[in-house]
Amino acid sequence: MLIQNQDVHIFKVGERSWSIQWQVPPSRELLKFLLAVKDQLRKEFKAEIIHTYTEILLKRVANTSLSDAVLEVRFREIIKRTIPIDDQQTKIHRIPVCYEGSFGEDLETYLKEKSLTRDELIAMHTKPLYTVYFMGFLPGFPYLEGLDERLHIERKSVPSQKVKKGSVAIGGKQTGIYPQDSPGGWYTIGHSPISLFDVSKKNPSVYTAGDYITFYAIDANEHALLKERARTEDVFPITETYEG
Amino acid sequence: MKDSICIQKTGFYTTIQDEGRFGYAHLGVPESGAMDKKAMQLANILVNNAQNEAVLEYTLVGPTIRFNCDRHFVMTGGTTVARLNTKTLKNNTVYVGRKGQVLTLTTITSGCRGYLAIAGGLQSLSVLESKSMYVPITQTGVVGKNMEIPIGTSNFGAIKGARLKTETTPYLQEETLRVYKGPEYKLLEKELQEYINNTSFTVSKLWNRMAIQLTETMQHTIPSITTGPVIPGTIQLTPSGRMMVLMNDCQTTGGYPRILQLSETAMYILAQKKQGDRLSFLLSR
Repeated sequence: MLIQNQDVHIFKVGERSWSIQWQVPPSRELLKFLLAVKDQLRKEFKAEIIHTYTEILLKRVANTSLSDAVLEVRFREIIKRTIPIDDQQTKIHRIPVCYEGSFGEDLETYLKEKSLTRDELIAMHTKPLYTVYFMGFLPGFPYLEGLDERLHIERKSVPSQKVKKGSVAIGGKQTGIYPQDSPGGWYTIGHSPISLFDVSKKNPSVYTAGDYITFYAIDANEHALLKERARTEDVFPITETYEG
Repeated sequence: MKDSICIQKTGFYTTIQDEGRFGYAHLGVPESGAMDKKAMQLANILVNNAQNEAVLEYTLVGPTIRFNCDRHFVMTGGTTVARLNTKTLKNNTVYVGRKGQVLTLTTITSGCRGYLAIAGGLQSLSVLESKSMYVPITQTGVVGKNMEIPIGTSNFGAIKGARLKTETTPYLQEETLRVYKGPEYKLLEKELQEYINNTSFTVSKLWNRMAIQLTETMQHTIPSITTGPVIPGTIQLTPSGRMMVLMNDCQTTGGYPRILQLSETAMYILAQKKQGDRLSFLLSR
């Protein structure tokens, strides 16, 4: 079935907010479509629009004289005629990660639990192009899809009180990177010295939903050099355009 | 020297808040902003500020402030025991603070959050288009001792003795929160829907700007959902069966079922509730 014709549930939340939910599993195809629908909605409605895996939320739609019934019909019309964005303009952000003992406080435990060597972990973790589905939990925290099944692990039974900014971690079927210090229940396996979220910028986040992230391994010396550079200048990931 | 006020004592939990941070939710940035927006807006109106000017939000015990300039000011929200030097002050009444005078806000006797607006507004650093404090978006999460906060210019000249005939006090005692069904309300068993409608709930010891958790628990079988969007006022049901009301500093996404959504008026009422206070829900159809 064409993605435009998939069944959606439309639900009014409180006085002015609206939730639109798709009844299909998350996929990159759906994500691209959600992003295109968001663009269309933004042209017509004054509201902040958040999306997650299978849902769009219009937060407090302002200045509309339309009745609820008419609004719902309008949302459905927009969905029907939205054309998904194709993949040709997708950005890839290459993020350096040091996978060494002192940089990932749970690295040894993780390797033992999974019966993996460090080289195997690095090979499996740096191979995929991870899709940024959306950001949530913390400012700039990316929900990434694409972790190798062999790296899945139950979350830690006792969360860490402080996971350091820049930490790269694995929890459940997901991997992620912490844009700032935070408590967290995932296994920290490495650390990136670069800055991913900077509130002094108009666009504070390096990546955005729909982009790809990929990790590459650096050693402790390179980590130290990048960290030193980051003290005096902005050090970003290497960003390229996807040619697929 | 620039016009400013100086924090001499911080109070229990005092922050700078405006209406909130909008346009960054898709990056995971919380909305923040004054918890009792009605009181905050009223305060700004009373000193002829723009509605979105930053004010001080204080909790349970207010701060002590020294004026470094002459400015009108007003307290709204939770009823605050206050004095300017030695003179006793009332809520919802505009006074003038003179350079060198000390404004002492002590306990809140009704409600739990007070708002101090100063004519000209607090001109602290704006980050991502808002002055609302939230770590790590802003560097500090609360005002600190000896912090100097710049004050904007104002040509406000209050008519002597002007005050608002206010109807704002009764909402501090209000215990009924009007709510709407949340996206996962339909997953609640019928008995639980009735239980929620007919029970008086208690604010637990977890009550902060991120969330207010209620003490009473209910047995339920609803599984966690795929992470979905949440907004201030969303009521989640935790796996342990407690209701968690998300407030202004909440995350933008969450994985617990969203059973209810507070009305916008209920947000102001709940913003004035502290540990041990009672409340009940009235479901809008």
